[in-house]
Amino acid sequence: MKNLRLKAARAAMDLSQQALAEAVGVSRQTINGIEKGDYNPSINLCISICKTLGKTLDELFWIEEEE
Amino acid sequence: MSLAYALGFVFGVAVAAGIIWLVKKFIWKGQKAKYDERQLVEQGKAGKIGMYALMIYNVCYGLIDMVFGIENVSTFTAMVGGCIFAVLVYACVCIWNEAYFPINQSSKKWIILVAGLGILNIVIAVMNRSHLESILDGYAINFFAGIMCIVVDIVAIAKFQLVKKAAVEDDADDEDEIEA
Repeated sequence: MKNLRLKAARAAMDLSQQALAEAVGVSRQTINGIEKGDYNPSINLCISICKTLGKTLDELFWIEEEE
Repeated sequence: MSLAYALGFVFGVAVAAGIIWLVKKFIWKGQKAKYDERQLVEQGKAGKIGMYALMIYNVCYGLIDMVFGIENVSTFTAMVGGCIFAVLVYACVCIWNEAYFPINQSSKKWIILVAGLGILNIVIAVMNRSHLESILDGYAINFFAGIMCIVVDIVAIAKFQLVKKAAVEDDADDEDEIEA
């Protein structure tokens, strides 16, 4: 399942996938995989992403039932 | 296998280890390769696939030897060839899943290094071909290793081209999806 909220939060901060990847210490392909829903990140990586984007885990990674 | 050949093989491995040490010290300046969590997971999967490839190779080798008899290739060459094949499978799977090159080191430098090792092995293979008595063994191992390096580079370059193309398409998709 695609993570459009992550994509939107990243775009709102005007960050490229590469910039976000460098900020959290992973490869660009890993961020791309998370956004596309191809890779499930660890909780530590989720927290790093949330801190970088100024969001909570719920805001970026919680899946509502209707989604 | 002669003692000279065995010593030559050990010397070759020592030279390769020396090259790796020099590269680590002077090109990477002691910097450790860093992989992210997704890359480590993909490397684990690739390792499993590489192991299966080696198992299949060994079973095929055993069957072919049992049924037809393999006369022109020594067991040593065949086994080292199997290891090279398994490493090739591992490397290609890692590259395809973007887990082969460390995130803190230049992948271009890695590609140049691997190409250099490939050319070096092929040059040694050609030299062995004209100088050694055990032509097939000496020729085959270096030749296999050289081909492995070249194939790894070809797969890496092909993957980089695909990733570049996909990145451009992703950027275009980003705006559409976010707006929607």
